[in-house]
Amino acid sequence: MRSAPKLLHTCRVLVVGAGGLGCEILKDLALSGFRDISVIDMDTIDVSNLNRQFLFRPKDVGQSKAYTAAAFVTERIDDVKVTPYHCKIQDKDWDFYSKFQIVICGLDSVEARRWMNAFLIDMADFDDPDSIIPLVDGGTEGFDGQARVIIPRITSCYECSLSLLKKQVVYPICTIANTPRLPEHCIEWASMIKWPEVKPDEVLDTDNPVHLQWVYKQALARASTFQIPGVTYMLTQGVVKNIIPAIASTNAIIAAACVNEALKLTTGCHPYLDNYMMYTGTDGVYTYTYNHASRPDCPVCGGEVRTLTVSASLQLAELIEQLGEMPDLRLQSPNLRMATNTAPKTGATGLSLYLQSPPQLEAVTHPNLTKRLGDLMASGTELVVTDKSLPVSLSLTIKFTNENMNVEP
Amino acid sequence: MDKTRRYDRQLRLWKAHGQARLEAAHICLLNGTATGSETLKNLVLPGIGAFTIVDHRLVAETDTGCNFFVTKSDIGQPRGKAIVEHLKGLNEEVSGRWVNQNPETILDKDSSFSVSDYSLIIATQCSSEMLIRLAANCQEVGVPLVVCETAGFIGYLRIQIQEHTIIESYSGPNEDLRLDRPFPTLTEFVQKFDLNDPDSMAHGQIPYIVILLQYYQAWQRNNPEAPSMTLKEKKVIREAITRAMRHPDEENFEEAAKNVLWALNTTQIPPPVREILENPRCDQLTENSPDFWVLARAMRDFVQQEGDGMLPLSGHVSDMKTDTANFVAIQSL
Repeated sequence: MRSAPKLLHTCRVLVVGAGGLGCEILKDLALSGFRDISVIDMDTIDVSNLNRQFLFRPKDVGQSKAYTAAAFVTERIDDVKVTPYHCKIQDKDWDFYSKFQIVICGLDSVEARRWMNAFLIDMADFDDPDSIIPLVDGGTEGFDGQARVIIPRITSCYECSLSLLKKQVVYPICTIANTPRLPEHCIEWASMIKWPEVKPDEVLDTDNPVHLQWVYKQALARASTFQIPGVTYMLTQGVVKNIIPAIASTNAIIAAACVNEALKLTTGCHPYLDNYMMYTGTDGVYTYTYNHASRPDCPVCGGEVRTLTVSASLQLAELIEQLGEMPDLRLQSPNLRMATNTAPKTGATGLSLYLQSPPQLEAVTHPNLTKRLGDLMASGTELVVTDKSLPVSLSLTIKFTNENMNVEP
Repeated sequence: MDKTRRYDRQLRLWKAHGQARLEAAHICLLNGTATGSETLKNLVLPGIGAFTIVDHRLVAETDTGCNFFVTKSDIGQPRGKAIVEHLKGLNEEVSGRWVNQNPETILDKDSSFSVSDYSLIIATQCSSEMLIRLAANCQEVGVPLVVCETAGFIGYLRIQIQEHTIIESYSGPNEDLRLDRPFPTLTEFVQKFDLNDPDSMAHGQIPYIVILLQYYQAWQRNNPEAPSMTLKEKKVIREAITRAMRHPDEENFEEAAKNVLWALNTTQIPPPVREILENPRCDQLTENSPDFWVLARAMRDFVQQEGDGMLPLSGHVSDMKTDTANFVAIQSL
């Protein structure tokens, strides 16, 4: 039997994110006996990180998070090797990720988590136990957080639980353009409408203080025209950058929970978290642990094809809108094609129903938007949905409620 | 260093006043254990004013294996001193000091040590005899005490505190529309709108509270004696509002229908607030009373006098579907 320290010393663990959670996770791993740690992060250090990312000092501002964090931990703790990677997680391939025995995510982005989750699940092969790499995922927002353990193809995955996420706040474009009521509406107007109008050749960089000042001034002017109070620089930053409050203590709690799970998964000394722990620190302290069930129709780990039952007279644009509002998919700009084995109806010009880009293909498929589904396809047709926020393609069977209804005008 | 930028991510949770209170705090840790050092780290980073570590041990090899805030080169040095130096490196705004005393005996041996000098005491690895005496001391002068301990995969945390009052909570105000007892400017505002407005643009911009209040007033005219609306009546109104929608996209009518059930309730003082106002501490005000109880008493006086049994109106209204002019007008009623 291998001893626990030996297991820890030889375990290759990857920490995804060297931010608030990442700094804590790296420290906890090193103090727990892990010896071969890697960390990947594409970001550089900002002043606003220093209230919690304790491996960084004012002199490090502008430097790579991964490199600075790795150097600090290696220097502080004997016999630990921390290997930094300053790049996007999407830049790394199968060979890179298959080197690790466990992955711990401390990310602040849903998109990155979806990608990492889908990648590890895609790698998992039941014939090769080494290909099943457990994913421990932590997340915090202010005084609240959660930690979970995902064993690819065995437990539920990140994609299974997307509907748990808070609904994204999206202000209707007509409100922003015509009837602003909140300071947020004025800020969105300045960043989404005024900026591209005045500076069509420059992309708004939300990390650039000069750009943010410009947006703030414009928003302030618009707010005063409409007598709307409350536009401040801090709020402007918050809205434009979608800032999530973050503090050291919640990160410490969640990171510790994640590393304890990594310890248990590696050594087998105690049963691991099954499989979702939520932590609420806003109203006293409350924690709740439960088994989040897998979705049989999860686009990433489930095998079942989803069925959507709609009216045959629904227009394609309305279907796309409906898909966009489904909280368990969180799509941004879905593309729709019919599966290759289907025979399109006469109304359709090919298998591609609607493609958002490139502009040429958008132009070709645009006329389909106002066509009724019954004119484009038969009931039971399988659609393939792709979306930039969807890490895999989604199969969707369309069934009509009114199959035999004549939809001709 | 620019504090607003450095503390941006936390100021969004507790704002400038919360930060000022944090910066006024002086926190004392008994025993420089790994758990204690980690706790202090999470207080030094957001910027408490000062901290003191009471510890009499020397850094041992075992400390370096579990405490991130001592290093190999500190072995043999006083442990409290080493931790203070490492923690101070996290935030230059915070001052830290070390008292070279055994926490177990400090209450007897160091007459200059007084728990009342601190805003909070954190005790780790203390004997139960010591904790009982310490807790009594803290209780006497009203200083909160936090006790925490860890062992392997288990641990505990307890808090002893006499009273914790919060004046500015950031949970967001409850909606208080007073539709059952509208104030004159609200009544006047509502009368300006015609629910049968033939102009469909204008019809789609009528704020939902106007829609609700007009339905409420109609109900009142028909039921002058009824003390409050029944659930059944609210559901009838909800259906009527849904029928009055000219097309399925009239969000203002949608909002009105969605909010019928709570917005047409009888306005009353929420029970937890009533409990505070009825607390005897509102009657026992002295020069040393916390601001919270002075404010609670003032609030009670208002309710009994000008407020006519009601709390002052917060004035907060959440966003609703309407045009800018209407919304600005509602906010300034």
